[in-house]
Amino acid sequence: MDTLVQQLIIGLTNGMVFALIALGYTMVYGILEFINFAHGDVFMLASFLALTLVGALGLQQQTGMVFALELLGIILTCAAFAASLNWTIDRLVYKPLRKAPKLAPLVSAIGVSFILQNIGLFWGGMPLKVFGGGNQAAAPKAFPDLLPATNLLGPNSHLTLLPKDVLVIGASLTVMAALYGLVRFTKLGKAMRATAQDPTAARLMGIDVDFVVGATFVIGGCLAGFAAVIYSLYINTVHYQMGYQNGLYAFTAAVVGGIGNIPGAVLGGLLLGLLRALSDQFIGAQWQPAVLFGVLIVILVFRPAGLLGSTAREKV
Amino acid sequence: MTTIRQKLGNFGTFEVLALTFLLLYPLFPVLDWGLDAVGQSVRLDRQLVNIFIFGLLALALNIQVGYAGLLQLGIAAFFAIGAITTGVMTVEKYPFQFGFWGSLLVAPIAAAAIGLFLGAPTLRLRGDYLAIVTLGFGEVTRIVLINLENITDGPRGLNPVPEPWLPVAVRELLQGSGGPVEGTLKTMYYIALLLLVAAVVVFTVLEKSRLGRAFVALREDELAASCMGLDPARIKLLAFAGGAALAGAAGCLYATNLTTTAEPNTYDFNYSIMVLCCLIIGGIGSIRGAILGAALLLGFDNVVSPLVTRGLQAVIGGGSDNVLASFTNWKWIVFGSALVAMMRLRPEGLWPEARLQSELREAKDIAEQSQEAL
Amino acid sequence: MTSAGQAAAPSVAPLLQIEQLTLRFGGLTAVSAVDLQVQPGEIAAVIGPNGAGKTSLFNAITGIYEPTSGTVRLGGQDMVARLTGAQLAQQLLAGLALGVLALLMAAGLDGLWAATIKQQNPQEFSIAQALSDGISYLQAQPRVEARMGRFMAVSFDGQIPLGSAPTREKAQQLRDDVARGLEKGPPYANPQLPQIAAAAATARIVRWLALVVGALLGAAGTHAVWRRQRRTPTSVARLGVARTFQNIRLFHNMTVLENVLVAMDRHLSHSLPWWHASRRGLFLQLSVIIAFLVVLTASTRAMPAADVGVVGSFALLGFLLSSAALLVQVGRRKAFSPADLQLEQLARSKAMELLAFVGLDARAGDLSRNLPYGDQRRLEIARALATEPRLLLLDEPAAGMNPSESVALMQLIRQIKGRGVTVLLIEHHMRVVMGISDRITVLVHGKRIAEGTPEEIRNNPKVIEAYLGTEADAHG
Repeated sequence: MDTLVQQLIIGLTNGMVFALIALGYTMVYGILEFINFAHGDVFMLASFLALTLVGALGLQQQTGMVFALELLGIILTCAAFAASLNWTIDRLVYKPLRKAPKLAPLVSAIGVSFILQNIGLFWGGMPLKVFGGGNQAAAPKAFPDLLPATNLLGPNSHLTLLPKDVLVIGASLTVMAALYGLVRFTKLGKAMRATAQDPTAARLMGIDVDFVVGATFVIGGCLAGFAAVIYSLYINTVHYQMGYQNGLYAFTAAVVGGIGNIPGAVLGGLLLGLLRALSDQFIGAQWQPAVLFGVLIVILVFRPAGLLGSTAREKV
Repeated sequence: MTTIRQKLGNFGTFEVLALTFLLLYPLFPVLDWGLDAVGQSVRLDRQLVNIFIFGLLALALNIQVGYAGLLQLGIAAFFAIGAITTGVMTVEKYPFQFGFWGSLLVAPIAAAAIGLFLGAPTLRLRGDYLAIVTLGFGEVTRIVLINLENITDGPRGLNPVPEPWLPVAVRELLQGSGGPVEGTLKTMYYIALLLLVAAVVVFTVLEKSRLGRAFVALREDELAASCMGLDPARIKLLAFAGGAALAGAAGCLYATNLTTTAEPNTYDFNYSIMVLCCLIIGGIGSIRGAILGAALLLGFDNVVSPLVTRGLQAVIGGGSDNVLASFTNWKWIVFGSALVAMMRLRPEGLWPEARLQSELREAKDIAEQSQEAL
Repeated sequence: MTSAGQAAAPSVAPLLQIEQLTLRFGGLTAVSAVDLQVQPGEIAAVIGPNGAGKTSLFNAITGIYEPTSGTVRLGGQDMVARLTGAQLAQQLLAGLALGVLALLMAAGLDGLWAATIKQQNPQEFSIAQALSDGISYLQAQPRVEARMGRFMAVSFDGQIPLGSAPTREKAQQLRDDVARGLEKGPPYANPQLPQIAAAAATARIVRWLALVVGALLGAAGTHAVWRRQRRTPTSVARLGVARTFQNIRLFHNMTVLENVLVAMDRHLSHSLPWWHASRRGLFLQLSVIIAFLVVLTASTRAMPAADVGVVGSFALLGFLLSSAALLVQVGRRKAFSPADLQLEQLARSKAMELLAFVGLDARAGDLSRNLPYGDQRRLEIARALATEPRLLLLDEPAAGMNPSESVALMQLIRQIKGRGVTVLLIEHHMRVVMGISDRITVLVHGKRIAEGTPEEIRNNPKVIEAYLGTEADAHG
């Protein structure tokens, strides 16, 4: 029983991070109908930035107001960095291809993903102390454990709940609530939903579609940058291929939930996180990708549009 | 004049010259003689075997991406299945020992069967979903192959994969005075070339056949095509299984040429993307383009990259610890930029298919013929 | 409500019979409880103001949309595919396959391989032994494994060693002893046995579960996929309903001739049994190649070296010759076998005949995108006719045509009727509709408000009101 609850905690925290990345995929897909393969790598580069900042500020495990502010500063910097990176990629690479066949932006996104991964590799080779002096660029980099490792449930409890678990879950929920408010109640959110439904009609109604697309990339980037810091704090390593791996999970989560559907992405992320933790416990960590893949196929067979998605009709 | 041109059909002068050159090259490796004279060694025939095999793989992907319009991001998985099947079917420690020719039969069947199993439930999905399904499948296959250590020998790979059996006379002929190593190389060279030529001929015909027409119609307007009675799911499944089978055959050749099934991590997502790169650079849907792409990419990987690395190290200095100093590390920036640039500047590829042009000419001929008949 | 239509109900069975068809998208009802009958050999028309649900009706007939409720029958038959025995068998088979796969995964493919193949000497491999080993492995019985040149009896999961022996036979004896001990039940002589027995019991339950769940998922999944495919544009087209589209949907980068040939595709293949000459040649050659590969394989395995040379050389020669024969034949460019070529030429002459029928034979070689608008509409009709339909649906065929073109179009539609094809069309051009239709149905806001002959419709006050009303709305 204890192991089950413990796995649920692990699954929930992992699922939150997947959900944050999945939101970026699903929002872009909802509006432009293409898989932004580079999204996971934006997440990865933001993690590298976070590690660089931690190294530059010389942060150690500690408490206090200054530390909290520094941490907040890192989160905001990384979010801003990821947002501007995402926006720049859209302007430079995807925007000229808006009217091209569907394959073009998709292949370009794969290309961008590889460029970013390569940049991550080089970044890991920087001669900084936090990067191990940059001698082994491809090796995983240790992210310092900035949060105390005290068990919040008391030292004698069979279960462990660390401050970082609480941080991941609490912060993610806050950000998701903010996103929900943004999409649901603001004018920009309304414009985004309208554009997702019918870009042409939205344009005719006077919505600046280009601006909405740009805003979507900025918001998706913000979420990825935020997720990057949270995830690095949680998992304590940074690696240039982490974007690809987590991006694959996150995109699967988005598909499972119903791509283009914002609550679906969160649901899919949580579901995938839980499944991952349970399969690690009961089937074996080495089979984890196979199990998740099997679940993806089963869901797509029975609900081709995902759990919360609705089937789109082609206009004839 | 007319007869030869007609018989050659639309295989132009270029193809004939290229084939003649390739057939003769191992016997008269002029380039290598020349380079030997200045003290360099490239061994073009060795590179060419790899290019033939990679070209076959690119053609396999071309059936799926180019003809059927399915975005397949896990072709390396079928390549791996072909290679591993070959290993299991041939190595000494297992009782099957089918040899190369037997596994050339079994490997494509195994790959196609797995392709059918994956394709049947998923090909009816939206195109983008297929991308993620195939990507996931590629990853899962790689991981399963690592985990099934008792079967695949995990990271060590199965070896030695024996070389293809040939009658002693043929073997001695190929071996010439070069010894057994040369003999094996030439054997692989000619078998790979034969299969590549066969694939090119079959696909050239396929493009003109009923099935080729159905592929074009499906890519242009799937709904209209299905309203005309074409079954999109069936045609896509056929393409998916066919591509998987050819990729399996390429895997069989790869393992035999390498004499090992290699580490399963070789067949990763990057490998699949490299094959996709071949198609994009050469031209999606273009047979010649796929082979040109394979030649360019392998040429870059095996010839250009080491040369530039030497140059870089001379300029930057820095030993092995400088990540920027080895050009291999730049590889994905180069490939990624190539994908982005091609999509922006020349989405049809360097050597796009001339199909429409020739189709035009042909249809006019028929119109004239039938008018004459009337 | 539609007394005229009902009173004149003829005795012939209708070709197309739509009853109470409703089509709802979210909150919007596009078609609501519409009845429509088309008699064989007539020209029927559906008219109505924009947004009346006419095209949605066509989409529901051709299987693009799934009706929310109601039936569509063609020639008295429901157009939804029934579950045939073959399909049921296919679904059960898929279930079985997935069940076995799940069982293998639960039991561990890797362990199965070690227990059956790896522990035997490859030179003296016995399939029977492998089979019996495999079955006892799946039952979670103790097994023998080859490790470091010795043979060990191990528990079913390979975790607990039960004894080691220099030969396989000795190890098998050890294993059988343990198996007997396990079978007898407690009290166990060996202290490891209770642990093994408990683990094996759990493993057996897990394996059964995997088999059953896998089989159920497989069968249910195949069934679900089939259910979604019961009525598709493809299946409707194959039942003999062809259509054109309001916004022309030709294959633009194909030639005019090819557009028509594509629509003939199913008559080129599906009416042919697989042993037909057009396929036989290809099958024959492929099987020759495969047979020789098999002989080559067999000869290199089982024979003394001297004989291998002889048999193998012949086999290799055969392989090369048959491959070459296939390539030469394929090299004739248009087909994989001579009969295929004949069939293709037959199709081409038929296609040219159809193009002549719509007056496009002179442009057979042009890309369809280069045709003028009116010609594109006629090409769409030719393409639809190429599927040899019983019922032809035309969605606004006269849209964008000038008066002389629409007169020619009326002539063409009458000729299509003359070929024995029933026509159902949507049209706004009143002159065309009134000029050629035998019977007209009027849709307004998704509901049928009138049906009858052109004369009756012209004088129906409801129709006049609907048209004038919408006109007034449009201008007001």
